[in-house]
Amino acid sequence: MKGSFVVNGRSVEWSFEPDATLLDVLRDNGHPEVHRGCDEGSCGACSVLLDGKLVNSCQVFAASSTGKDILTIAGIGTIHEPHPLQTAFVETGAIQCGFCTPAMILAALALLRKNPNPTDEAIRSALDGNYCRCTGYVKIIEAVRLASRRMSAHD
Amino acid sequence: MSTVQWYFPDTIDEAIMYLGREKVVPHGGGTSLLKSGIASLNGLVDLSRLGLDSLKMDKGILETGASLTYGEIADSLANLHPDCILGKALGAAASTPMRNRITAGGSASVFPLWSDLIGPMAVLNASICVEGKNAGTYDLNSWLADRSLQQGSLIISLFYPDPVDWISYYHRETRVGFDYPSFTVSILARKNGSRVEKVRVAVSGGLDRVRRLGELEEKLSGGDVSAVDKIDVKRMATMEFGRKPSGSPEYLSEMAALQVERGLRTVLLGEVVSR
Amino acid sequence: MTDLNIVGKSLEKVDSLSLACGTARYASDCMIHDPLFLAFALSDTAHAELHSVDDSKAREVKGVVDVFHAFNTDSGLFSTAGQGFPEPSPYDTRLFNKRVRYVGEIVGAVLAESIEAAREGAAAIKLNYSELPPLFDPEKSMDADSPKLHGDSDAYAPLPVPYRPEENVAGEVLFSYGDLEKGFAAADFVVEESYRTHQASHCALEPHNASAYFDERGRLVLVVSTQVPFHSRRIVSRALGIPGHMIRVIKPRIGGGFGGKQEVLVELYAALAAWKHKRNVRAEMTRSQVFTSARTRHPMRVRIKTGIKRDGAITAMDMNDVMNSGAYGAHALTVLSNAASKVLPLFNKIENLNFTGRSVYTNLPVGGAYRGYGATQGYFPFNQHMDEISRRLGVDFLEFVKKHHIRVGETSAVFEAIGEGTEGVSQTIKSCKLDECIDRGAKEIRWQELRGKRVTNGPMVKGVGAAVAMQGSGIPQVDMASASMKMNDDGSFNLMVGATDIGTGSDTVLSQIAAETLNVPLEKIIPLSSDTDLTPFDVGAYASSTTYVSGRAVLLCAERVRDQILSVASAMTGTPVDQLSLGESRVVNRTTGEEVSFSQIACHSLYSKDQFQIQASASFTGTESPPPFAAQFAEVDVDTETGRVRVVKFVSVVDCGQAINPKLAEGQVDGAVLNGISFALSEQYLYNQKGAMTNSSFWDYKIYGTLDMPEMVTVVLDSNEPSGPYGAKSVSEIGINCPAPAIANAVYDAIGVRIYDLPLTPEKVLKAIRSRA
Repeated sequence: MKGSFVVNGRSVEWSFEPDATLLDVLRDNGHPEVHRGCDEGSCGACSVLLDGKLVNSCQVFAASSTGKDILTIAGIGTIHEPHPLQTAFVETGAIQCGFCTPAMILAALALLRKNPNPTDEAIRSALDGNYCRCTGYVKIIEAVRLASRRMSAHD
Repeated sequence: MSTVQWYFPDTIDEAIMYLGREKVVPHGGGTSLLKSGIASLNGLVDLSRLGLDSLKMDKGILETGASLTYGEIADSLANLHPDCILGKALGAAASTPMRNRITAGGSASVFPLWSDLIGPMAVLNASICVEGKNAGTYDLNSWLADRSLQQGSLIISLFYPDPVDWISYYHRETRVGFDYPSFTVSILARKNGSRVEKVRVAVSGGLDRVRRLGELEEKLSGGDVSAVDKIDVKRMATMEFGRKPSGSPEYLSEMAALQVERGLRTVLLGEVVSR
Repeated sequence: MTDLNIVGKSLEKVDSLSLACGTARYASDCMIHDPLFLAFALSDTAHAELHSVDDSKAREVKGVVDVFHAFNTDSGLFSTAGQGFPEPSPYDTRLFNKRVRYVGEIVGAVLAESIEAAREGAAAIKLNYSELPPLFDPEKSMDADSPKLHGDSDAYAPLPVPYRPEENVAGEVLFSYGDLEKGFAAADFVVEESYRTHQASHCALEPHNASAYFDERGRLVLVVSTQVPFHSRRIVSRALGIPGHMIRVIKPRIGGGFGGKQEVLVELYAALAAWKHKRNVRAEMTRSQVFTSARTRHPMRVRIKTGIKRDGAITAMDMNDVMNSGAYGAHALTVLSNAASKVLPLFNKIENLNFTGRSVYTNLPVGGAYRGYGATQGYFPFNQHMDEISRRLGVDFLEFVKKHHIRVGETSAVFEAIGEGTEGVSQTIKSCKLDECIDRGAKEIRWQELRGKRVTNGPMVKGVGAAVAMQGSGIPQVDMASASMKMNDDGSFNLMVGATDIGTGSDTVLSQIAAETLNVPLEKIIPLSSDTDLTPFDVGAYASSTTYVSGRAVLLCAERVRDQILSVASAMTGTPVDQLSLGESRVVNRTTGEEVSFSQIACHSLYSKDQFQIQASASFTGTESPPPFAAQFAEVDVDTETGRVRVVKFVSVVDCGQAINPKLAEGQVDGAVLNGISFALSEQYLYNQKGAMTNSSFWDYKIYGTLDMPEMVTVVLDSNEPSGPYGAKSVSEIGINCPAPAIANAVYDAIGVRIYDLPLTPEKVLKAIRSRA
């Protein structure tokens, strides 16, 4: 089947199988920045923002997302013009293998849009579906805190 | 190569027409369908255009549309009625990205292992509003007793009479924070001074899926809060469990009873056992 | 160490912005044209003789191109363990074995035009077999009447190491000094206990995968999620008979390894299929397959018997380990030897010592390398045992440790005795700040206020516990690393290393070492790791070797480059080298103050006169393996009605020598700690009676998320290891050794109940509480 999506602000039309997940379709169409960690909705590595909400793209049928707005990590900042969350993750040492990072940053972004000055508890809660096996989350929490301070100061 | 057909109806009638066909099922958020697989299905009816996504409080009755996600319900209730057990339960279920996909209707259709909906529905005396072949409003027990009610039918919304102004307590027994519960304990109470006006207790996860603890409710309602110390709460809260990855049937059974007791002490006596 | 500019600074990890922006590429992201897909068929029986594999139904599936299994694909015997050559692990497996030995063993691989077709094909494979009696209990493995997994096979050990498949013994380590009997006779009392550590999955978020394609000359290029690209090429070549020169292994970014990817697995099958069909191939394990069919932490039973004098002297220790290797012997000998060699030297004043260790086969998923590598299995019993002894002596655990641990200038006979498949290497400790680790940690955890106080809050009781450990820094006289560098005309440098950054930050750490040596900003070093065509050899990311061993290679290489720079500058300026010094990106004449920039020097060497490129390479093999030290502390609340243990606070203080990048070093410890805590409390392999894992998914194999973190404090001490590059030792593994024992000791402190078996699940703890009562 065919469907159109708005991915990182660009309209696209893709063909896919009716049982394809959004993760499959994104990866098949040039979005390897969305990572496959478990394919069962439990690790969070494939998270994207779907109409602004954090979802596991492996737990969403592509067919059900047609016409919707999809944001991957490539849509929030670039290597030449990174988003404050991206630089905060870099500066705090919150990135080791980086496999969880794009999704983790999107989870943090979804939080900060709703709650620009989250408590640590709110940060932990917002990242509760995104596993990281490298960092123990310590510096990830620190990164979100730092980005939150910077982004509110900027506003 | 999947041959499953997607339908995107704009009206409930249209949706129900599709659902009358062989091996055609509704699609809410897709999380249960992705677990169970859709290879054997002929069609999926996407509910997103039906407008079943409102949360209303009317004359003290809460209605949640079937397409609302756990996340949406929890967020709305956290703002409007932070004491409502439904919001507490759904806001703690699964994980943030999963809560953004799991819908109330989907959960009420399959009540998956990891559902945090069933306990609150039991204590809130919730009912399930259905259109289609078996149109009507069903209480939880009749709904659970007859899976054939779902054939050719669609869950439209869930009703919760009298959902707020309770002291509420929700416990989900999990191994780590992001886990499905091996059991849940839902408690509602109304007190007047030290007099217990009404108590409702439900445990999910046992062999019965969900059980209201009628004897316990009866013994406590109408009496003094101190009754919780005098009656054998654990006996009345004991039920059978199957083996689960989180523990043996005996352990889970004992823990559920213990957590009922702790919950009651929290609700009635204000004691808090930190976890 | 004074005047460091780059080393010792928490500079940004060189690849981190690309990882944050999603431009970094992992093995499964590599663009390959029109690939075929591979799916694995797994054994559903724990032990059976295969008679045939019926692949007809699989071949009928639309899109299926080929099916590989034991009856159409032969390979020599080899080991999947990515270790030095010849490997210290037995050659006991083939690509597909006709005798299957565990549920989850790869028995077939289906190649198809789509992953869906490949999976459908894999599900359609039928195995015809006769079941054999399975063996699940490692402690019964050596019984005379137990089933023998490899007894009648032609499996062998390529090194002259103990290997007795006829007894199910996949590896054996025996060692003793002194006179044990005399030692026990001299003791005032004896403590003897058995402990069990359990199986665990690494849970690197990126599943094992490989992409195979052909370069323009028809060579096979394997882009692999691996910790050991050079071993991978060698083992693929050996197992498949593809000439080594026809294989190139590229390691892109890696989504975590923790030892799990020190194994040559998926790329074998990708290479097999690609080579036969001359088609590009992608192969990736599902998460469930990573649990059942990749590698795990070897479970271990450790029995310790110790003789102690009233004054605290340890007169004798007899340690007996049985390690469950699973169905094959990957790392069977060396994980076992590390359970002794990384543990026993810590208490080097034990007067008489005996160690007996055996790795045994069982019909369960295969063990392998896992962060900590035996030390984790050894320190759980060791620290609990020492906690127990100190309590019986009536002395504080921390004081007891201080009395016994190895110190600067001291050695242990164990270093020389136990190596990895060979004899060990004797060494004298040159840096050890374990006392400072202990004191600092005790302060952070409020040891004096909380220890033994059993502060209660309803059914909750608080306790604190500690544990100490050492690790190593590479395998001495075995691990070799090389580096090469070339200077560009702008004064920047390409640094090529075989050292394999799997997320650890080694590209950054090694670049910092090069930048420090050459006195350039970090961005002037352009690291490349690792590619068997483009980078020099390195054994890979394991054994806590990279900072120390690869770091020394980089240091040596950078020094050679520096010498060439000085000599060109000398020719350019007519100044003797001994009057020249390095300034930042320039060479300075100390007498005149005259300067030439690196860019001028590079241009001169490339374009002006007697042209050559300033470049060097260097190799390094350690002659010692200086251990990092750590003291770790847990504060726990035990719910005495449910048995649930909650870690409230966890403190780690580490002596890793000079941290090349303190922030990255802290990150290594933080990650190891949370992995260690979840290993101790919630992770576990569950099996049914047929030996099938019943929880091979993140839904039921519970690792810690953000909601579960305790307050975590990690302190990296100022320290200096004289033999290390800029004073560095290793840091990646040590942090995982002590969460389990520190927590178990804290549980004992809280409720007086000792838990001998991991994990400390609520039900187990509650049962222990009740059996004491």
